[in-house]
Amino acid sequence: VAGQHVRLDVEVAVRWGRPLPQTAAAVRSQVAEQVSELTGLVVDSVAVGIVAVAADAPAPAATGAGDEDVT
Amino acid sequence: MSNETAKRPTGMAAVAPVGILAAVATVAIGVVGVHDALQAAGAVRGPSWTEWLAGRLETIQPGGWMIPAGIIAVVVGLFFLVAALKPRRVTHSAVGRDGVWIRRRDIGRLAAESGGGRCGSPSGPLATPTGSPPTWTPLCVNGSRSCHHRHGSAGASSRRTEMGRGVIAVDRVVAFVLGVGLVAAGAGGLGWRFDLIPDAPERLRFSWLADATRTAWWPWATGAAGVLLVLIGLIWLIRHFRSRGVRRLQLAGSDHTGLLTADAKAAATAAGDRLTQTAGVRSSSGRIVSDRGQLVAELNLTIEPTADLGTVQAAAEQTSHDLHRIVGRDDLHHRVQLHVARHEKTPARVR
Repeated sequence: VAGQHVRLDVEVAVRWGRPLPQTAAAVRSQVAEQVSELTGLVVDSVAVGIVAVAADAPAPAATGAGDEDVT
Repeated sequence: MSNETAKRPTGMAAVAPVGILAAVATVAIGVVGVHDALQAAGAVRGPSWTEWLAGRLETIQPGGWMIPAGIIAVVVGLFFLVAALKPRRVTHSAVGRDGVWIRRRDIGRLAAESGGGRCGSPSGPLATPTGSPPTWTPLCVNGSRSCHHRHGSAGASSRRTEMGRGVIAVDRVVAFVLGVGLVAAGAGGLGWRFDLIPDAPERLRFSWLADATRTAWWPWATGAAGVLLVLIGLIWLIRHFRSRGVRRLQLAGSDHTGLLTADAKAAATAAGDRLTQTAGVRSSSGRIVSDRGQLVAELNLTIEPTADLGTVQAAAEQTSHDLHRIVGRDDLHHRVQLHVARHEKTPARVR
């Protein structure tokens, strides 16, 4: 945090089946949007790290960026 | 093979032990130089090792010791030359053409369990175009023999994958130079001893070397060279044992709004876990490595000796393609290595 500006680091686990770049990009945009909306801070960047990929459950069909399988 | 498939798996380069030996020798020579510098500075007691050696080499003339020494030098030199020029051993045979490989010694095991090989001949890997590795067609294996099981390790990777091209290239060059030098020195010594070299001098004098060791600058020069050799030797040695695993992958879409990364092992492990859902696949492991200039997703599967190779191959190929799609990097290659368990896994008893 620097004044009204923040930089975020997010670690997520995803399910097998979804392209990782799109999933991570969706997390980035949603986190930036939600944090900005809830706190009023200016989000400069959101670094997203996918730290785990769960293989056990099949991924449901993609329906859009709003329901990514991020746990 | 598609452009997504990695290079074929190979065994450890034969020159690697020579490289390790040479690296240790480099460190040892460096220690001698450092010792003499410390000895000259009064920090270490005893004689100067380089001065002692230079005194021994001041005058060399043919003697009986040259016969065993010359023979040993020639033999060791030839060994070094062979090691330097020998290509890496092929350890796996291709199953299909899409990056699935089976350990060669496992082929017999799989075939033995097939009870005569209903759908393929274990003794006859199919001929492939010149320069291509041997390829196996899927072999239907339907043996039902059941015996006490032993859990196979899921693809414990051998050391072959841990050494990069650079260090192997250095090993080859050094082994070649040492080999040529030893053969030349050994043959020259033997020829001198048996008077086979016309106009050869009666003795060789290296008094300049002994004179140099008595100068004031010698200890400083040996000390500096010694430190340098120790550093070079240690770096060279460490590179033989350095893991080339890739920890994180940068994903497409990384920009000023944020870096997107993925744990490389997590993605590969998940692919392996998916494959354990295939009938006949006992266990798996996965990782992403930098291998011979390629970024390679390496999946190791331990399969049952009674597994249907065609089924395993199809699942491996599909999962590899899924992994490419999921990771989304054009520079990623894949390699699936099959290991056949020694015995079929018996189901757990229900009490």
